[in-house]
Amino acid sequence: MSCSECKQMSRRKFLSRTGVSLGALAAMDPLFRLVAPTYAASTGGTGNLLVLCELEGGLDGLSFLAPFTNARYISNRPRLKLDATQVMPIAARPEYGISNLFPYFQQLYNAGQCAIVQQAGYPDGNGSHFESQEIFEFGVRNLASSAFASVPWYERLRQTYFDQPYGVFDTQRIGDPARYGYHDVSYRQSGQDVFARLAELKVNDAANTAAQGSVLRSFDAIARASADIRQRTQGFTSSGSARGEFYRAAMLASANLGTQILKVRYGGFDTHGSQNTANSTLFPRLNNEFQQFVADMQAIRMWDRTTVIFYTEFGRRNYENGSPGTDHGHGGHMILCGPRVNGGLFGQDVTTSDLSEHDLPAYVDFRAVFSACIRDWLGFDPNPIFRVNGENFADAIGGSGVLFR
Amino acid sequence: MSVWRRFAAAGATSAILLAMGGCPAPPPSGGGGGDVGGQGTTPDGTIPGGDGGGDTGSPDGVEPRPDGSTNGSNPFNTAPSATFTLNPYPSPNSYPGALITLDASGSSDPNGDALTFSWNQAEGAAGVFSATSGPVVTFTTPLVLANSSVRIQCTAADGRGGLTTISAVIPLIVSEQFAGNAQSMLPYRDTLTSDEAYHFLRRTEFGATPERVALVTGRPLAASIDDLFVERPVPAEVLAFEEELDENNARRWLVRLIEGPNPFRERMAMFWHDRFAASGRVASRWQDRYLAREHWEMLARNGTGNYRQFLRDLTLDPLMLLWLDGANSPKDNPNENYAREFWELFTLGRDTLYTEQDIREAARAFTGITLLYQNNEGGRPIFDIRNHDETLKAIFPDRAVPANHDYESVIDLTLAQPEAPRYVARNLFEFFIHDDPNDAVIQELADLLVANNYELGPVVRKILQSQAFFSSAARHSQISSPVEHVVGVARTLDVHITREDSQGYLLYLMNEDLGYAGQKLLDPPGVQGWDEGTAWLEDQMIISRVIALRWMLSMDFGPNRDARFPLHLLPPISEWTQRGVQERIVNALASVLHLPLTEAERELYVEVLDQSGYRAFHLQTRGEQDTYLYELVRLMSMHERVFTR
Repeated sequence: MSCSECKQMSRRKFLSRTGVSLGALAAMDPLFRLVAPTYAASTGGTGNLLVLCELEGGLDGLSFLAPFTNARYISNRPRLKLDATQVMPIAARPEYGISNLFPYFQQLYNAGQCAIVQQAGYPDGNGSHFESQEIFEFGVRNLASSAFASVPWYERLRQTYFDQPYGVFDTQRIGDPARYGYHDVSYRQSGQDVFARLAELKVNDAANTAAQGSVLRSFDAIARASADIRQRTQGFTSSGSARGEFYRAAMLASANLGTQILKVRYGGFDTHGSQNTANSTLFPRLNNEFQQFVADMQAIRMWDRTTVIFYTEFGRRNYENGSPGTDHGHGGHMILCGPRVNGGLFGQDVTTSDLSEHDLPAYVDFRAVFSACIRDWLGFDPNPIFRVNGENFADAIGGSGVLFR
Repeated sequence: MSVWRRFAAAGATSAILLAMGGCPAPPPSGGGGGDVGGQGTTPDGTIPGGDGGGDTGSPDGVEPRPDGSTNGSNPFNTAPSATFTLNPYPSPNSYPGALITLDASGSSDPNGDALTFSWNQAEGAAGVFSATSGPVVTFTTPLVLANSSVRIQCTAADGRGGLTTISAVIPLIVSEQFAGNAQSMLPYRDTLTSDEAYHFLRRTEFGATPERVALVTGRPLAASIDDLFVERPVPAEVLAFEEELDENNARRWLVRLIEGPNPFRERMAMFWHDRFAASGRVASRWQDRYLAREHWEMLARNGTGNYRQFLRDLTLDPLMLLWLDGANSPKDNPNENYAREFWELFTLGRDTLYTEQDIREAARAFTGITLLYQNNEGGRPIFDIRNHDETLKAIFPDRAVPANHDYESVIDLTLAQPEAPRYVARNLFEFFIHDDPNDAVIQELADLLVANNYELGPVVRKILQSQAFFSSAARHSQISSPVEHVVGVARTLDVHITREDSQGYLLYLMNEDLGYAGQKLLDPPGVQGWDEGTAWLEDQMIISRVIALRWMLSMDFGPNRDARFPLHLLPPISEWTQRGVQERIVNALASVLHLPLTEAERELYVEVLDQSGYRAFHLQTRGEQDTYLYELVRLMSMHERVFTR
């Protein structure tokens, strides 16, 4: 079978999986011609792109999707509650509304391209940011017992299924692609050249301490990747004013490096005090930078093969404190956006009884949601990634249908 | 790799028997590579012990015979057959400060008498015995500065006048750095080598000029430690420059770090800034624009003071009250933020002792503190008893009875728990020494902290004079933070900044790039401070360090305030037209930064000056020379030995 037939096969497989009719194929063909070379290197799987957007500090799910008619919600949060003027009620479920600070998410939801998995988390929630973030990062509940705990789950995924150097990118790690590599100002770039050669020369020197070895390995990796990345992201410019981490993600996606996972972080969601003020900055920034990302991805015709999942280490307390803000809770919401996402509400609806607890419970295991992304979007078996070292969890996501169309 | 591991790996040679009675075993020679003598060695590596059999001696012959034995003028007694082992066996790897186990239990007496043993040192600088009698003792070799040896003697006595004395020579080879005792709080020697002095100054003062290194090698270590605790007045011109920077608190601190006369004080403040992380970004009111600086001054003031007082000041610190919501925690609806981090980050450690219920109780105890705003000044903490929860709080219910706690009694109750001093001691150990202290050494420091009623000074002094502090496990074993790295290079190359550049950008850009490198002063990413260790090795952060160093290289150097280059450390410019000056420049910089370069490394650095052979350095124009020398200084500042601490 020739290579082009190979691509045809994987394309058909992809189409049948996602339920796109043959009629749509013709219309979409130019897009496929554009992206096929990028992702053909991936063996098995769909070659799609999954963007992980971690909201650090603990997003208040009830300020994103507010059960704004619920009397318990209203009494829990005298100052922080959202009312009918501050949300867009969901047509099919008018007791819920998406905050007006997230207009683009509202738009995507109405287009059926935004899925909200309510009350997700993990059993026996831990109130420490760091422990909880590590649980989400490593994909295991018991950090102490797991031999895998030092490798993020998406890194395990890369190593298992698409072991390519650029398969996973963390925007925090890469930073601005235009500044990538040793920053030389000299005529012949000898500094850059020597930086690379020194690292190569010494990286395996037995006399290194462990710390020196790590430094040299990092230097070596930078030297190897820099030329490639700089050259491939040269032409990319965002068409809007919104930049930030999502902008870096779009740049890296544009580089055609075979990336399947992009990790993006937004911080500041630990709103113990003056939560309304904080959210009035945090939410629009996230909303706008994400919207610009979608525009950028559409411009390079890659949005159609992209899903973005927003998640946080835990939700926040059901009732407000005196500051007024909310303390650390347990269950939180996970939000998926993308043209192939099966929009709607998933997970366990937030009930009066849930709101009467200290914290929202975690009915859906976050690994079930990530597993659905791995299985239905990336086309890999998620079990070897999460069911490690005796770790287990309930697969059910709740709600109707699956997360992808 | 420690010497101990090397010995363990050597297997059978890790313990060699020395034995004598009738005939003395020859002392091992220094270059023997671990093999003793050889003559008469049995396959398992032991030397068959001679015996005193039939050795009757003269009736009054109490003096030792040539073989070291005497029968005690008793014609019916036979002198003991003495033997002892050394473990690890001294070899070229034996070093000053090594701990050697001496075991004479293999000795015997032909008459079957019970033997007693006494130990002493016959030659060389004095080492330390764990005991001077008994069959098994340990000996710590003396902390000599030059290659030398010691001779140890063991005398076996049979209780009836029969004595046999044997001895062994332990050669001491001084390597580049002190290798062992990574967990020992025993005092290190009082005189330091140049590399050791540089290590001491990098850990306590960021970096050091050659003059400062010479000062420390030229006086006792104890005097250098005392000197750290002397607070010197900040020169008026430095204060004036800081004033100009007004509410740009991070830049003010950068100036203080580079120019200040009390680097140890700033060093400790930076350490606590990472443990008690708080960010100026919460001080959003105009009146609060100096709170971050006051916070830093609070950290500096308490850095080596009393931990209990430190926690009180921290709890009432206006920036901390905003950062962890302590100022906004009404009694009928308290905010748990401070209570949680107080234990998790400041006193006990994650998941230690406290429960979620304890956090709720302590949050009630911390109520009543708020910020008062008057006269256009920043917030001032006040305690308002009307807003303090005056009911009982059951904190650590298994250990303490419920009480009407307030912030001071929560601090006292917490510090009374044995977990607290251990947490503080571990933090200090890991900051100054290395990441892997054992429980015993942590307990030793924790006990010292409690014995001194939580005064930090004695613990810090103990750490700085310890063998662990100078052991190889503590050398280049951690990764420097961006600020520590850049300020360290600046203080080593004698960099100065006495004014902002004409655009007012230099410090601004340096601070920005240090932020991209992962560390924005007075603006940590979260309550946990900065992720340390290999988390500093994100690609972007490394690249940004390179860029941050650029701004440092735009400052002034040395006593003459030369622009851009440490000319005072380099061959004179008049010689830059001479062939071979490249190597001299590279060597001079390597010497100041204490970098041992291999020939291949040196050649690569020379290539930067020669621009990969484009044109030899000494033939270039001055403008070209400046550009390439600048690149060389920056590249060497990124050396893995500079990057690590």
